[in-house]
Amino acid sequence: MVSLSSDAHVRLRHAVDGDRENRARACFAGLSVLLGFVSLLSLTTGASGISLADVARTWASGESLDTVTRTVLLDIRLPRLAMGILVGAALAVSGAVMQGLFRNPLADPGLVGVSAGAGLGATAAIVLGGLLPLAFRDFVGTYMVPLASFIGGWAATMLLYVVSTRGGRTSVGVMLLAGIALAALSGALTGIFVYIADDAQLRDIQFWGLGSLAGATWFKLSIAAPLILLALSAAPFLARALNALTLGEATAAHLGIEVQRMKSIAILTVAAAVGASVAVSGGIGFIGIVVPHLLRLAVGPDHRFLLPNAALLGAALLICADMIARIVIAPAELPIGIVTATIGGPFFLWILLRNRSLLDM
Amino acid sequence: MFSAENIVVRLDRRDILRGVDMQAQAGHVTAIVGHNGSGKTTLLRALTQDIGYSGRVLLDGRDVTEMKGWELASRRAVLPQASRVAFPFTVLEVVRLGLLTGAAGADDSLPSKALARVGLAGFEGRFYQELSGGEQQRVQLARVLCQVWEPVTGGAPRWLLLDEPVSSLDIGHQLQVMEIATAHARAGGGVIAVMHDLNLTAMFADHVVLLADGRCIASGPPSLVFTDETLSTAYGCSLRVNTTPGDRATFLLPHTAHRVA
Repeated sequence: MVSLSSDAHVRLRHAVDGDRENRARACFAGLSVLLGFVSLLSLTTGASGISLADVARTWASGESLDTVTRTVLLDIRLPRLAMGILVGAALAVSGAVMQGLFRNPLADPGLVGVSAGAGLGATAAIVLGGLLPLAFRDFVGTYMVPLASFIGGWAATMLLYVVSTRGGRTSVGVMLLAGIALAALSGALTGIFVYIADDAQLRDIQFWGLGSLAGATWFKLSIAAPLILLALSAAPFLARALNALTLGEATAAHLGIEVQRMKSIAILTVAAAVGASVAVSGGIGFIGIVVPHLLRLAVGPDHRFLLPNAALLGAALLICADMIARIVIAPAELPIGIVTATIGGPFFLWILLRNRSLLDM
Repeated sequence: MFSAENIVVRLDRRDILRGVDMQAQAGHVTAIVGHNGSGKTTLLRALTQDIGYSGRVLLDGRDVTEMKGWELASRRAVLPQASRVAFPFTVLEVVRLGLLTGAAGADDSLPSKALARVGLAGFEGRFYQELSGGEQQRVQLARVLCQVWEPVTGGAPRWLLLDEPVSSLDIGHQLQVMEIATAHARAGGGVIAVMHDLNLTAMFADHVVLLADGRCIASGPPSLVFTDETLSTAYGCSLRVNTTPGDRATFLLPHTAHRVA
């Protein structure tokens, strides 16, 4: 009665139904090309009208670039591009990791208060930083704001997880509500700091609310990049564990995953990536929720492929958003958060409406 | 041998298990039975390290708390009562998760073999969420089978721990799943199953552990444990056990039961 179909082996010689690994690899290749393309486009888009063709021609003819072009390219557009790639990748990957951790496609650092926590950390560092003993300030130096932002994000993520998880089960309702409460609380505390801040500090703080890549410099990049790169390089090691976790924490443990350790690493990863991103570019929403969702529809939820693809697509999307922010009201600029929300919001609603059956909340 | 010594579990200041001893031999199907709330599932969850307990759980003489997660994963697989999968995975992708840490990690054909084994050949490309409850249950069984596909490796038996494996299945698939479990045991592996259905238990189990109110009140082969008196005590109603005329197989009809007022 127990039937063992003999043609099982034969069928496996060919690409198996339900196996989306090849599609995911093709997607990775495609997204790599896309990222390269939009990067070049981004370098040649802007108020000063430098085109890549001009630059290539100058280089080919052996002349050196004039100082203005050089400055615009190397000191303004290139760090901005690099920042866009890093932040976009960080937001998308941390969104995917967090959704895997909470086993829910709605867990986005921006929605559930992690970004707000990071923003609070950054604001506190800006306002209170001046009160710290000089020796300590010298010691922590320029890392203080990203570090505080990281700690804020980490605390928010931890708190959120502890509040919404009981007996190994994460309650979605509790998570979203707790996230709203956390975001409100962080917002209120941030408000207090804004209230007591002086003018120079206010200008720094205002930046968090809007979100922008405009302030990107090599110096800022050198502060954020190590944290983001560290987080991004930890993510692939989480992929198998996150896959197992989709079956629940108990089953993941039965499959041999060290669940508690893995959860701590995942929370640290999200906090580092979001904290560093918020520290240098403010609160940019929707990348973390739209990118993983799109990719799950395209290549499936296997985190071994989802995470690297999310890094590429997140980077490409944020660079595109940044280009739009620069073009729409040129020579002025829109805050990039407005662009991602204006495009991401309706787009996300559309995805939700189309795929309600698969969401299974 | 999988054994538990003096397992005590307290949840919310209530005693769920009050000192349960049990032993399961490799090569046998061991069934844990008992009334609702008797502690069946809790006992299994102690065996699988899902809950805190006092007492000892031993796998071949070694305390399981001293074994690493991956080591345990290569020795035993656990089928939960019901499994929700968080994201839209295909059936193949779910079953493949069984290969995550098992010793058979490299064999790509295993998921399809396991699906064929549970009668779901050709379901690889379907979405898990779109299957019926019974089909989902069998997909999970296929995943569990992948994890311990060879019943014996390196001379050591590998275990299937099943929590009500046939609860949402029709009678044909109930028989099929019990036959898969029996085949695993006959090939040298071990099986511990929490069971609700006493007739299937009588048919397929070699050893029964009967729980009532957090205590083990009888254990042994079904023919010895399933007596009118023991079952009536365990389930709180007057039950009459019968045997078939030919091979003296034990069966139980609800028609013969009387409620104890």
